[in-house]
Amino acid sequence: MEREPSIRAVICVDDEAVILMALGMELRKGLGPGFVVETASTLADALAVAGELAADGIPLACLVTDWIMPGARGEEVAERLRAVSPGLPVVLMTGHDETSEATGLISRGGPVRVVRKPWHGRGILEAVLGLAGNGLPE
Amino acid sequence: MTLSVRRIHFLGELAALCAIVATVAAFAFASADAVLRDFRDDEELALERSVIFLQSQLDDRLSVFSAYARDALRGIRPTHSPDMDAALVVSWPGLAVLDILPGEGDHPYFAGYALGSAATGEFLAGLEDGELAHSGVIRSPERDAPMICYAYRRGDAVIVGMSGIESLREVLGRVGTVSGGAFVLASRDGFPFVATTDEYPVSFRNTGGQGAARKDGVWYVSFIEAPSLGGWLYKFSPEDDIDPVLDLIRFSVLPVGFLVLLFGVGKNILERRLILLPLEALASGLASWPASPLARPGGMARELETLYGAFGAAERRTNEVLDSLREARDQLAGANEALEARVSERTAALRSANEDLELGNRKLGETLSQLTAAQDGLLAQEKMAALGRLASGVAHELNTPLGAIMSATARFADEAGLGSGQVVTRLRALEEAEAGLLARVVDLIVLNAASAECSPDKAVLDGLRKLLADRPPHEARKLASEMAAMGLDASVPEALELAGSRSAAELLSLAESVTSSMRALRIVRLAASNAARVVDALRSYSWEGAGDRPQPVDLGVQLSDVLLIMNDRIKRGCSLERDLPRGLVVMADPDRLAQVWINLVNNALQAMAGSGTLGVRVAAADGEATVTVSDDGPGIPADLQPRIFEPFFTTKPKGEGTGLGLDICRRLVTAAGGRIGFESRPGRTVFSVSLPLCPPGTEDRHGA
Repeated sequence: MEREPSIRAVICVDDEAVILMALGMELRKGLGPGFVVETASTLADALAVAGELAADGIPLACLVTDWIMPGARGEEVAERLRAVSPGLPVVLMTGHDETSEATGLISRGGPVRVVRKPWHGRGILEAVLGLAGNGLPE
Repeated sequence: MTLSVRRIHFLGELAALCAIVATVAAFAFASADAVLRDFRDDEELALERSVIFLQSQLDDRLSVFSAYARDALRGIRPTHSPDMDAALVVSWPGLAVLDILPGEGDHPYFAGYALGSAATGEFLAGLEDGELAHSGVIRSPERDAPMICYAYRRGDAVIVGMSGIESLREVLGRVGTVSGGAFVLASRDGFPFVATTDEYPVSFRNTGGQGAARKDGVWYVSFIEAPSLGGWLYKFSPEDDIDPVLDLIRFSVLPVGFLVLLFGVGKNILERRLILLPLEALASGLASWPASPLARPGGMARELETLYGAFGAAERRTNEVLDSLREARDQLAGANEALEARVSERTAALRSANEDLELGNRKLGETLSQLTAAQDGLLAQEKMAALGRLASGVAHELNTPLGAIMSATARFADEAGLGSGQVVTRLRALEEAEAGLLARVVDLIVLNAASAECSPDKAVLDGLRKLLADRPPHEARKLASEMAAMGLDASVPEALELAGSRSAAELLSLAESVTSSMRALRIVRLAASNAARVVDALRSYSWEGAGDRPQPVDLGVQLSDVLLIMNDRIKRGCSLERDLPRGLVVMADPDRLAQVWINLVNNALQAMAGSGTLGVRVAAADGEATVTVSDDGPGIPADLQPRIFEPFFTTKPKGEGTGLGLDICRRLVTAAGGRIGFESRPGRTVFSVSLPLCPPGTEDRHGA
């Protein structure tokens, strides 16, 4: 039986470039060699990246997405990526308080965690690790 | 002697009517005169009784006569002419009045003697200066009728009134004989009077405007100013027969007396006391006369009945007049009462209404002040709400750079702390060539850092993937992704070397660690710069100043700032189309103008309910800058469009809006000399604000 690919992908979606830069830095270092961290500033970019990852045989481990963005909100990004990768865990980043509705929507299609902006310490990393595991077989 | 009488002058518009009445009365008088003479002997006693009746009534007239006499004396200025004797004869109702001047005879002072009555002369001679008296009934043996004489003396002038019908005839009949002169008659206001005219000034006896004169043996007599008779001037000579004179008398003096009785001298004499009481007394006296010869057919009674009938007619007429006057007076009084009642009613109603009005005014005033206070409160509330929304937006907007900064600094801390030793160990494990490659890669990363894209371009990734094509796809993907993230692309030889290296993953990891501090700092700098922009935009608005402090405002700059601090709200599902060229400067209070844009953008965002396209543009035309804020929401319902600028008008649920936003916008724009308008249909609503442009070159001290 062929061995499962050793790496999985985390896609970060945010309309703010500086956030993507910071997230990429933090997650690449924190997740280590078992994960490839991709960034996208729009839903379309995210779908394109997901398509490429699928072509490369890299499964999606987690979606890290901002909630409030122009064009599409976090729940829509989650829904669209889960169409490609059912049950995809989602980390919802938000600077707002009233996320219960969005969280409820996202939780229907899989696990979700909410991380408030600005996040402290290893908040995002721990959320991703908590949802996606450490990359080791369960 | 012959007496030629010629009417010289005639005046008075009522002459014709009065002449008719006077004729009738004179006829009645003449008839009565004849009857009286016929029955003089056998009815003397009865006649006397009637005269007594008359006397009692005539007492009443004494007072009237008195007034008249004084008036007459005022008008008489006796100036004695040696060649002329004259008597002023004045008729009074039922009596004759004589002004007797010095003359010849036994009683030279009183022409009354000329009447042939010693009793009259005695009466007159006994008059004291200023005395007013009547003689009582005088029965003179020389006369065949009783008479009453009234007289008033002032100095040498005496005014004498003679009562008794017969006496007049007697007076007239004897004047000429006693005095050897003549008498004159005149009439004024119904009274016979003596008058003079300017036509005969020389010889006219001046008696205060009326009189008579003798010239060349001819007497001229004036009758003027008599409304009932007109004014006549007669002339006659002593040779004239007395009869024409009597005719004249009958036509003038006596009728005048009756006229006075019938129609009154004036309104005063119309009074009942003067007319009706004497007549009633006369009638009752006659009626109570037992076996009165007056009752005989064809006798005096018939004539008196005629007379009485005339009086009765006068009475009826008077009664009618009085009744109608009384009725009119009653109606007037009734109308007055009703009017007064209505006036008081209206006055009360008006007073009540006035009180209501005052009360209403007070209440309105209180309400107005309450409303003003409430409006001030709402304005403050609206401002606070706007500030609150803005603060919330700003907080979220600052969250992004803060999040990036915290993430980056945490990463920097990890690397600089715990990771440092590991990195050194790993570096020492590298071969010479690998270390050299790493050094060049790190240099490259640092060099490219300034221009590196934060989000790797797909072309860059694809290029790197080709370099890594002989590796497993997932491995190639990861390497390409990380190389791109650090600013490496396929065009540099180091990328090719790295792609061919066995230790590519380790080298990239080390490069990442070594450059992480630099990249983290870059993130921090970028995020801090973003945060500074937000703070700069926010700092432009004091939100405290209430005053209007116009200054040049660059609309492009200000709108960009507003969109920046509202970015958090805008990006919640909405896309933004903007066309905000710099350099369009208007004069306005920046805070207030910003409030307008914030309100309009808020409204547009709320109209689109989370998704849609917000358009914010500014353009110049015809010396004006026009800012448009558009949305593709459902539009404003047509029936609400006329009301949207009304204060407190809101379509938002209770508690979500004060309804003052657009009202405030309109007031602020108007205050800045601009205008605000909108067009709305489903799918497109555009609010436009036009403001006068400042002259080119005006500095924007605020936003530039």
